[in-house]
Amino acid sequence: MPMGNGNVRHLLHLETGGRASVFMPLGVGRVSLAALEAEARVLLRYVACKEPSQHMIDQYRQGVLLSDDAVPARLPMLIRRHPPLLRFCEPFGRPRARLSRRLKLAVMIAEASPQGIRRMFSAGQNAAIVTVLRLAGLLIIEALLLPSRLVFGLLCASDAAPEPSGNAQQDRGSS
Amino acid sequence: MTPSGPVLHQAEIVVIGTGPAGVSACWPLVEAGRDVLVLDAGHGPTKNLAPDRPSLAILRGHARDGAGRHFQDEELLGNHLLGADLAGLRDVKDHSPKLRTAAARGFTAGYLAANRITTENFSLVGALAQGGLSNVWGAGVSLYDDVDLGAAAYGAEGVRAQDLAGSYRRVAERIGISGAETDERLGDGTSLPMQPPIALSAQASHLLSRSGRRGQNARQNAHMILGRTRNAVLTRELPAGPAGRNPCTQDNMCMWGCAKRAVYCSADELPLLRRHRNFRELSNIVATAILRDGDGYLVEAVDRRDGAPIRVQARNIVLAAGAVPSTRLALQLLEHFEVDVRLQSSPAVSFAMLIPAMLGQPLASEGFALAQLTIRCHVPGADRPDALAFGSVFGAEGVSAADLMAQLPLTRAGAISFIRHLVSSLAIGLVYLPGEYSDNRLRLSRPDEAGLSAMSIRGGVRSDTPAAFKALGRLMTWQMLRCGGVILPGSMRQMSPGAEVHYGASLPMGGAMVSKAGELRAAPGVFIVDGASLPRVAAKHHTFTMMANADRIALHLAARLGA
Repeated sequence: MPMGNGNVRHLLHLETGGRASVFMPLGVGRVSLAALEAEARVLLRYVACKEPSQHMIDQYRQGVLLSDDAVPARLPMLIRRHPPLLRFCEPFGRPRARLSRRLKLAVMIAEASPQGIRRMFSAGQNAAIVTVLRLAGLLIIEALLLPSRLVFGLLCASDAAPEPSGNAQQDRGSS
Repeated sequence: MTPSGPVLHQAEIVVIGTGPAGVSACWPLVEAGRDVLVLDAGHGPTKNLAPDRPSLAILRGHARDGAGRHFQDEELLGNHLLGADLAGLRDVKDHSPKLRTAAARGFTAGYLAANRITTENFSLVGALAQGGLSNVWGAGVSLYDDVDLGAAAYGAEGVRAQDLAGSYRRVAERIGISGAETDERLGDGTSLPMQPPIALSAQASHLLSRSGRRGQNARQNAHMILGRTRNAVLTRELPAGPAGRNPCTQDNMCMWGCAKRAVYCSADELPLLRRHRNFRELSNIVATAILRDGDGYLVEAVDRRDGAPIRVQARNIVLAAGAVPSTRLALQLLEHFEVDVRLQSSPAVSFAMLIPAMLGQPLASEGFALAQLTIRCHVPGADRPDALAFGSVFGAEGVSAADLMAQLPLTRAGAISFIRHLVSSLAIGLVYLPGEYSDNRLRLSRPDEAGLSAMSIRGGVRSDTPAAFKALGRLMTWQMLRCGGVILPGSMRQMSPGAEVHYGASLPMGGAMVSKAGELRAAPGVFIVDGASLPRVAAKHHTFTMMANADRIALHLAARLGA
């Protein structure tokens, strides 16, 4: 029998509000700079694989505040402590989910920082076979991660960002 | 509406808009000695780029600067790639990434409100800026042939390729086109004055050489043609060109805006036009309505700085405000309210492609990030001869990693590893369908108590468009494989209606409302020179044709006034 969202949440203690909750809604419903800073640390650490600089954190915070959705993303406590685990619950096929948009923001900042650039563009020349093997390994890992992303990603993406209608967001030119 | 209030300005000809069409219309009129007043919604340059900005390879650390040092400055790096005001962090959804990386913050702001346009399921992009959208133009140059112009459908009133031939040449000489004579495989003709082509990247060379070998096979040729793209990009100094435009240095920073201004932007031509005493301009002015006034017209406008009303009297009006705003002004003048008008756009898909032969190659120290290759193919299963798809191939190295990752169905961590090892062997493709595959409607409301009308756009695609994309996807996957490229499964994404920014054919020349000369039949002296008057929106890049058409119409007007 397939497991419903509610059962999964219950088994993982993901319900918000209870003492046993490991799910930290970081100031949902209001703009909290501290919460955004905590979120910045997690997501930037995840994409750059290094502790982010204060400059990057400031850029992230400004990027969120300038967007149409300044509500902090909900991140499980486990992921806040171990950002690499985010790989198990990245939303799949939901590019407009709040977490997906924040991850894109984190990548934009990382690729404009020395530590992000070292992570993304420093492979150098390799034998084609080495690259093929790396690619094969990567695709196997991604395939194995997919079921987990489908389940947990749905939960992490459940706090969907408000979608501006038509051209509203672009027309403001601010986000 | 009836005219009221004082007239503040008078001119023989008022041109509304300083985008590529507006500027192209100005030149023949100004050179013929006509009195031209341009109304421009923008003011000054949209983004100041440091002319000494390092190349992308230096910024990304796989090349050293002139002094042999690695680039280290975190703040400067952020300024170059995100902008000092962090404009590069905007969310532009599925629009061109250049709107966030190359355009200043606020570039598209206020456009819809100022033009009183609302949208539903349609992403309308426009800018109240000098040069309009040419500030972020991808610079792909294509020529429309008779099929692209839909000439057969309009009979004697139809615009034909031969009508545009002279204007294509004049515009090419003026703006500078780089390319090769061998581009004729794409049906673009060989008679344009051209600068030497930009050197192809290793990926593009590989695909093109494989395509050439396969191209010996006539059957394959009938399915898909791959050729070099012509670009409105300087590779040499332009004789008598605007100051500040310099040849491309292949710094691979095209997506972040061209600091050398090698890529054409119509705003660069305004200083040259200002040298003519019969050319005047009013900046920060948005036209809100055109009213009949005796033998001529009154343009009602608003000063964006203080909201002050402006009134301009002219015998002739040239509309170049952008396809939708120009259509709104024309429909309002003709009192064509509460009627659906068709607006064509080019439904588009993007995809990521791996080139296995390039696996393991190091990142290039220089490059050109705009389109290098052009794809042309017939839409599988379509029986109309004009059902031609058209597209571009870009190297992935010059694209923001965040935008590349959006194409990949991987986790961010996985996508970063993927890009780290494969970016030198990745390419991005963008393929358009012709305007007939879109199903967008414009509608102008009746004026309210203040006498103001509003335009609504309802976007959509024809019911067979998803199937056409599916068939096109299968064809492209197979044909690209033969050329040495593997389209990544799951990477093909259909863009939302309008996001591709190819709009037009709402008031087609040769149709019921607009003559072959681009003149409103029921309002003599009012001409439409932008995308609105194109007979159809082919899948090809239409900006160059729009400019040539504006030049053709302006020549006609200058000749008529001179007679």
